[in-house]
Amino acid sequence: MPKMLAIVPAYNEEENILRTCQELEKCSLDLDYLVINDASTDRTKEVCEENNLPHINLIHNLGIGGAVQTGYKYGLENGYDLAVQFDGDGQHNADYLEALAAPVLSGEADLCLGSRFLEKDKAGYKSTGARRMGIKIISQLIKWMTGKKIYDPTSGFRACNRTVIELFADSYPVEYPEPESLVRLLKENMRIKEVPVAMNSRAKGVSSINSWSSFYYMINVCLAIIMERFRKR
Amino acid sequence: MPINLRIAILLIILLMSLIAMLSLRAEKTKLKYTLVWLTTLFLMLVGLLIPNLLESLSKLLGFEVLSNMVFLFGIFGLSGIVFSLTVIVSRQDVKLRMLIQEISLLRNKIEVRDED
Repeated sequence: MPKMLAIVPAYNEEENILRTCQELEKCSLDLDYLVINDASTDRTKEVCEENNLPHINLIHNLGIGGAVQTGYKYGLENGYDLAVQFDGDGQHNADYLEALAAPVLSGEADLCLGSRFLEKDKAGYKSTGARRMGIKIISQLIKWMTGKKIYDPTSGFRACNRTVIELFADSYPVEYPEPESLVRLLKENMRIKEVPVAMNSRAKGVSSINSWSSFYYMINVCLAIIMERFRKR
Repeated sequence: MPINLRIAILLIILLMSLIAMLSLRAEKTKLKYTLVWLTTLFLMLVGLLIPNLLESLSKLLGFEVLSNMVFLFGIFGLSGIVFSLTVIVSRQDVKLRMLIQEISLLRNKIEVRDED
């Protein structure tokens, strides 16, 4: 029986974290989960303690990349065979975990990505128009850089095997983690598969990416992808 | 260059050297990061004290006005120092992140053990 871990990064998610964890507990897969509380300034820590949610409190805020990497380090140290990233803000739906983990468990892929844009008719949250445009650009850039088309490169809903856990624990791009880490994996000849999922819009609270910084985000993410492509390992 | 201007610049260089030395002595700065400033100050001192050194150099390089050469070299030199600081900050960023992760993981391990 493979050991499975859900890594749940959370920053100021006092309103969503409990429900997220309850969803994970209901999941049909036999998986452990671990909340990475990224030094939240609200009551996230207290909510975790009161409800006995397995969690790690980062002693200082690191951002999503640094938080998720802590989860991979924990997974590596504790002998997990599979890790899924599952956002603490309620955007990800635990019903898709099985479909997400299946290609990794069967050995068909090293990393499996939950993609919002694989099936046109799938309902659910697909982000705003401008952001979808941005995702398309990033997707095209990754195609040019690596030859592989990835439809939802910014998706933080993904499952990976032990090899990738080791890779991510050792080095994880912390600035623009989602797209950049995919390029890194593709360079290492890892197999990435996408499965269609639907996502919820944020239940409560505010997203960490606001419209002000999205232009800046785009420039940076594109540069990061290009740099990653030409970086010597 | 008029003598009073030379003396003024000399005093400024000496003052800056003194500040660099004092902060080094007080362990406010580390030697390996302070060395670049001491080197810069030393070069300024050489340029100031050896007469016609800068003038002949700027003529040799084809500058029309001496001050242009001084400013250009000054800007290049400072850019170099600032960039090296960017490198240092980035490196420390990585170290700090690893430390935060490591300590948080350890703390969690201890807490879990204490609960058992």
